[in-house]
Amino acid sequence: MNAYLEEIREVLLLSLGTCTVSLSLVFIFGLPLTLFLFLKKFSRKNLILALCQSLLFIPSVTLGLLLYFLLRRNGVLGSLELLYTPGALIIGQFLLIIPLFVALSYHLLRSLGTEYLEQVISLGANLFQLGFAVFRKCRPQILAAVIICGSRVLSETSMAMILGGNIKGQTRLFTTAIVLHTMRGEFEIAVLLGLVLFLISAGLGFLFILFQKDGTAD
Amino acid sequence: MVGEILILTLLTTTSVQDCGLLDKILPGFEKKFQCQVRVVAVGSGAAFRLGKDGQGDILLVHEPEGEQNFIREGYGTKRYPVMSNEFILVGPKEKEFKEKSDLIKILREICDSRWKFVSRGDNSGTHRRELQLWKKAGVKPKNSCYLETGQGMIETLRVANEKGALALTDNATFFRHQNELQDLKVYYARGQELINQYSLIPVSPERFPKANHKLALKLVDYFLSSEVQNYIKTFGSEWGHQFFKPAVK
Repeated sequence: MNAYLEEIREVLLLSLGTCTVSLSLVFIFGLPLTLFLFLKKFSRKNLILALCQSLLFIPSVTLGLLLYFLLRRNGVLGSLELLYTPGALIIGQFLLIIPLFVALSYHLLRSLGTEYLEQVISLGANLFQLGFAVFRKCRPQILAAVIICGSRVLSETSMAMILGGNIKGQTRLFTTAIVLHTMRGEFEIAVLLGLVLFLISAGLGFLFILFQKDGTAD
Repeated sequence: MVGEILILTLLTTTSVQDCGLLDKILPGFEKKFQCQVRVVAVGSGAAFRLGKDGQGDILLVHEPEGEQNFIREGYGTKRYPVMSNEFILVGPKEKEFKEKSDLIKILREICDSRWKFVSRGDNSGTHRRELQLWKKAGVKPKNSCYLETGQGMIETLRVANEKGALALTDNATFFRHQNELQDLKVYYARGQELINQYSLIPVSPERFPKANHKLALKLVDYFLSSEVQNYIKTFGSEWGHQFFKPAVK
């Protein structure tokens, strides 16, 4: 039983750790990026927006494969030696969810209208400060968007397998650990891990509903 | 039974699948006996577990101790050695060992110099053999230098290639994929302690009445036929190596 707990602890730390970092990055850069796309007028804006929208539906396994070729030793970014490290997982997760976050917050900005944004801009705010102002005004909606992104990251399997290599204690996440133990025929620990992952996801779902309520009450 | 095709489920290790041998051998069998062979390629540990659950008709594995247990506990009928190859120790090109001819000393040096080692970590025959070797050497690498992938042979070799780490592999998988493992070379080979025996074990028809025992025995005969045994001897020449030694001389 102790070995099980040890494994659950290890996997929990890695899953939540990488997820927290990639969500933080999405949170920090996502809003300024969305504001940039929303406010700036540039040629072919609609085309670029449509492109971003289509990235929403990129299968994680394809993204993983693409990054694999970039990150491996003789790839373009091979000198960073990131493949099979948590860093590779974080990059993959970030790229997987940033289109989702941008799409959700773009929608939010549209309903917020430009008037408020122009007000803040007139005070001399840059994109990051503006992002923070938007967050303060629409906290529940943005947190809800972060949660949607988080659940996509936590349930992602194939990309984590390709980029992380499922190395014990380094890149073994909930999903990849469950696959491994099922393949090995060790169903007890697989079920335990599945249960913990389910509880975390259910917790996120609960938070999501909570934030949504807050959002509509405003 | 018109139109119904017989299916034989072969539980096997990733190595024979990864090196491409089964793809060459099985079509002939399927044609000869008008059947379909479903190959489930997992580690030996999982193959035994699936076999005990009645998920297959016959096993092709390479883990003598597990094989004996499998038969002793009544799940399998008999062990038919069909071929063998060898395990080799591979690693990054720049590494040099003091004692090149003694595997145990090499293993101790790996630990002492904290060189990275990638392990299958998946209860497969290769993984079990690796653990036996560490036990024999009386050492084990520190956690920070010991990476467990929990995946198949080729995935594990890719990690070793990326990380500049050592790994124990069967020669067939390594030489078959050497073009993508350019940063790895062979450090130790042809050791008596590294012979890797592959055997077929049909599951017991008493224990699993639904298993296709007749067809399983035909597969054994087919593997041991001079036609297939001769083919096994030549397999790998495309890549400049003999991957397997046939069991029947």
